[in-house]
Amino acid sequence: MSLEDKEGIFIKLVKKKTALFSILFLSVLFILSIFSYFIINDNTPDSNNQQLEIALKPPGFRTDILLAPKPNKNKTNIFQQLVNGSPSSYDEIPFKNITELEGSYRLVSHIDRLRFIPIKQTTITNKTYWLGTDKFGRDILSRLILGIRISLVIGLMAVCISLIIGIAIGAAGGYLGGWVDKAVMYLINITWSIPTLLLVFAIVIAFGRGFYIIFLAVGLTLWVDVARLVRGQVLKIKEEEFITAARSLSYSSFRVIRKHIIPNIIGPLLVIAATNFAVAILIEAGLSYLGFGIQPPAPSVGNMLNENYGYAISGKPFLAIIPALTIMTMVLAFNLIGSGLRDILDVKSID
Amino acid sequence: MSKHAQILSVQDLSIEFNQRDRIVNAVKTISFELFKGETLGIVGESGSGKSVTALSILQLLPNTASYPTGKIIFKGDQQSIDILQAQEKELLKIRGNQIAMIFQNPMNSLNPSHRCGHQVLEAILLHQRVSKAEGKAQVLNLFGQVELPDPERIYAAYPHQLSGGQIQRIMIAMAVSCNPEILIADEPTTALDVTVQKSIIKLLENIKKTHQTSTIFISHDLGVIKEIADRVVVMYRGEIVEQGPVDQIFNNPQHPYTKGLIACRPPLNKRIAKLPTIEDYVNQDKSGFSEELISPARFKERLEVLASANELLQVKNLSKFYSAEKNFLGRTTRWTKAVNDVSFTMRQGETLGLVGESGSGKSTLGRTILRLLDADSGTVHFKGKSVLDLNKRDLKTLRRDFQIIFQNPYASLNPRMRIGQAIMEPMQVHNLHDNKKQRKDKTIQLMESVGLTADQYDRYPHQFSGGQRQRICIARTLSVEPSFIICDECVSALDVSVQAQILNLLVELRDDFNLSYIFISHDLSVVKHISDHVLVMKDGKIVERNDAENLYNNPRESYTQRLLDAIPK
Repeated sequence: MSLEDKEGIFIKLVKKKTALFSILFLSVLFILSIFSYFIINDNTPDSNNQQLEIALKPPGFRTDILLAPKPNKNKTNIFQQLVNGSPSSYDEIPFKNITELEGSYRLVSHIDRLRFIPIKQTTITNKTYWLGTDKFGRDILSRLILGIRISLVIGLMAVCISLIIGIAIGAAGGYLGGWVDKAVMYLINITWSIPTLLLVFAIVIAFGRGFYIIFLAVGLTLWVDVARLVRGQVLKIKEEEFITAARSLSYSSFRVIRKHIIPNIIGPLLVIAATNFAVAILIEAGLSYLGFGIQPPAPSVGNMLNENYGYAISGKPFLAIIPALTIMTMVLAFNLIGSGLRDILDVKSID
Repeated sequence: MSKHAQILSVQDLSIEFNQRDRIVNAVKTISFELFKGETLGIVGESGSGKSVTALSILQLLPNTASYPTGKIIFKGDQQSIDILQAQEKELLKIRGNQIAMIFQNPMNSLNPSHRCGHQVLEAILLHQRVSKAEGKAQVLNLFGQVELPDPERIYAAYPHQLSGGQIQRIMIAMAVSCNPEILIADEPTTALDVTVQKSIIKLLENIKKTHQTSTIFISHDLGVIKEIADRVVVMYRGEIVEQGPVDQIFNNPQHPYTKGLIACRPPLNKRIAKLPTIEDYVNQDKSGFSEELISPARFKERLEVLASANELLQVKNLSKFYSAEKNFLGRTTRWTKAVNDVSFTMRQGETLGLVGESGSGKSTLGRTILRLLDADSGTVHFKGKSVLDLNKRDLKTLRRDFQIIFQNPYASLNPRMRIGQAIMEPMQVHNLHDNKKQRKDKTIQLMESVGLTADQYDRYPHQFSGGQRQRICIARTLSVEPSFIICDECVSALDVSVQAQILNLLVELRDDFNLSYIFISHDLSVVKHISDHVLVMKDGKIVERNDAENLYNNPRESYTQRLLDAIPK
């Protein structure tokens, strides 16, 4: 259908089942990501609460825990908690068996070791590890949610960066033509000829391995697709009579692009944004897997996969399957939204 | 004629389209017959249901169409069949074989990646049991019949190597290749130049005689219908308002719509101040239309006044070339001279008509004058200033004074911008008026002066009809208060009745705002109606300049004469 249709793009998208499921799925992930530290079991920074005694437990593992307060507490405000989590103010001691003995607890740990803890100020609670624990005894579900959060943030930032750069460069080349267009095409072709991961490596190596560098690096590789698309669309729309009309009224190039061209290519832009989101997630996962991305102990689906792929054939496949499935479903969801948009907007000439 | 046997009979046909949440009645219980050997003209404006009717006869409508009532009985040589009830298998035998169709846009109706001859051959091999060699001989024979020059060359040519008229001839050859009993021609000449149109009509008449086919000829153009049809069906909003022999329809129309449709074409034999519109006839409360004649003396007086007015525009030796062929080094070896050494002057208040066939360079000339295209040589002086030498800022100032209205009202508005905003935007860009409030007031005032209403301010272009959109474009153009406007085929895409309204509006605005126009059109009757002087363009050159009346009464050039002869009377 044409863009002139009365019904909003969103309403039409929601009418498609696959797209609707994808949108719901990703909305849940986004909400989980925003409030992750308030939701997850292990809300220490990076969910890095290591309990070596309960390493490599299967999904659904449940244990009793003794909480012993730490001597020095550091306060965090709610905003810091939302962004970074808060260091635990307790020592968490999981145990299998407990008996009281002369003012102390006698704990039998999961590896059958004995420990004595003074009863003073301790509480006993229990905890369920819905997806089990990894080789350091950390809660996989917590780390997974934080990993998803990192994927989505990097995807979002990378898409924004790629859109800003891509639209600016593509529109300038397409609309202005001449040497500007030649320069743009030159830049696009050069960037394109370098394999994506290689380019990201180069950027990461040059600027260091920070979190910001990664989405910058991903964004700086993805703009090429956007620029090429925008340039093509601009070349097409430039021939429309309403652009000639605008020129005959002496509108500036910037105004024509901003008010008359961009609103008419929102459709294709949405499609490529969705596709790029998926690509960004994949690149981030790949980088982290190879050790160039998110650095441990911070969790990301990529480095979780790296840490655990060895277990895929050694009796604990869920350790590798969980992050792999997460990457797959996220990428699938974005691609389904992309193809849904493509159907609705009847975008033909992408790729 | 009517003594002949019926060959097709449409009885109480209704057609509906299912459009998501509503049902559109495209055709409402119409009945008509087609007799053997006659040409039936179906005339109506866009949206009247004429094309839908034609497509239903071949069952070529999309799946969303349904037929609540009616029958389409085809009485062929072998059998009589209700097409609406027929199986797909039977339809395949009828389509192309017994009923053939020719479409409006010849450029789109041939596959661009196959040779023309092969495409006709394919149609023949599909319906007849002949060998390839026999088939090819047939095709060449047919190409000869449709008066294509050098059939062998055209057989091997690809569609893009041929002109629109030649392709339409191939389409006709393809349509008659299986000796159909009925030929349906849906606006077959609308996309063609007048001179080509005339030859195609002649060809269709010859074909009808030699092949004894019955023809349904669909057109919005009454002149064409009058030339070719034996009987006429007039359609209006999905209904047949009148049908009868061609003489009766044209000389003694009964229905007010038919009367209006005939009257609203610009007349060639007299000069009138204002064109009648369909509303003048259809609305009961109006007492018909009283035409105001402009006598030759009055016209002469106007020309004399104009002759003493200030010079507005002077074009000298203007040329615009396009490169047509490049060698392997990228250097141009052959140029297309779109505008070739053109000189003319026009005076303040004058309306200068510019006519020519497609490719004559008239649009390029208009755009080069406005500097929407860069000229290759020559000068343009507007109110004494040399337009081609202006810098960007001065050009912007000048753009307030000279403006352009485009042909296609569907393409010349940004679909994503509310129309009020679109009309107001030029004022913002040029910093006219003090504040937003004043600009909005001015916008609404402009909308009202072109016949729109203030409550349409926040609508999008797609909510308007073609005529209304052209009004919006005109309002947008007027927002910078120009004194000179180039109208580039600005009524060509509109229905005749709407065309009359827009022409009246342009004349009205010319008098109210003291405008000068260059009026570019391929339609000589329109140009004659509105212009004071007329330039005739051919192959990038101006071949004749004269005042409007003289040009039509005593053309000096043979080319002008040919153009005039080709106008369907």
